[in-house]
Amino acid sequence: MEDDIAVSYCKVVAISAEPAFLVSEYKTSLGAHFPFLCDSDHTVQEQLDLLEYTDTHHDRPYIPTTFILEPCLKIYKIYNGYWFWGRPTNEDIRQDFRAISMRIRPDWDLQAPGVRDAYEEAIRTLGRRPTSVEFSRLIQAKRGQVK
Amino acid sequence: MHPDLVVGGTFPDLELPEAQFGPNPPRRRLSEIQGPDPMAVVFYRGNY
Repeated sequence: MEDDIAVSYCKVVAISAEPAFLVSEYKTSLGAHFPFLCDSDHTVQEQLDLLEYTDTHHDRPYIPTTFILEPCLKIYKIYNGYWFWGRPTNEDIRQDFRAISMRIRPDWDLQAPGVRDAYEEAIRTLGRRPTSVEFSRLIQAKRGQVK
Repeated sequence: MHPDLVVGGTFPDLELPEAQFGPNPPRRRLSEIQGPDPMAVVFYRGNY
């Protein structure tokens, strides 16, 4: 699914409390390219209160938890993965990203009012195709949503 | 879980070192990683 995420204007980041060298090895073994962050001193774990206290064998692991965030770090959904079935599947994440994208992409529907006008104006003024951010802003401006 | 972590709330803009082989890993901030896009933040137990 990383390939889908990489080309679909979405992001993923993984965080654990393991030592950095173990995290690096794990990331390499997965062939992952998205960021893996290290909370080796457990500071964030304490701050967020996500300690899996029932595991006394490993060194204070995280409760497996996935946060789906809209832009500006707004929480859209939380998956409590302490039990396996609480963890999101690829399809769960796909549906969440779809729902968020439908809401935040003003060009979700190319045939919606103002979209084509914004695109053609961008071509005229920029002399090239607009980036996704430029396109969104132009559409919102046309709809009177952005000054 | 921290009581601020609820649907509709704002996730803290955490800054943590990124895993890499070698010294002095770069610190990354979630907002910088996210940019203007949706993002999944996955906390996992570890490689076991």
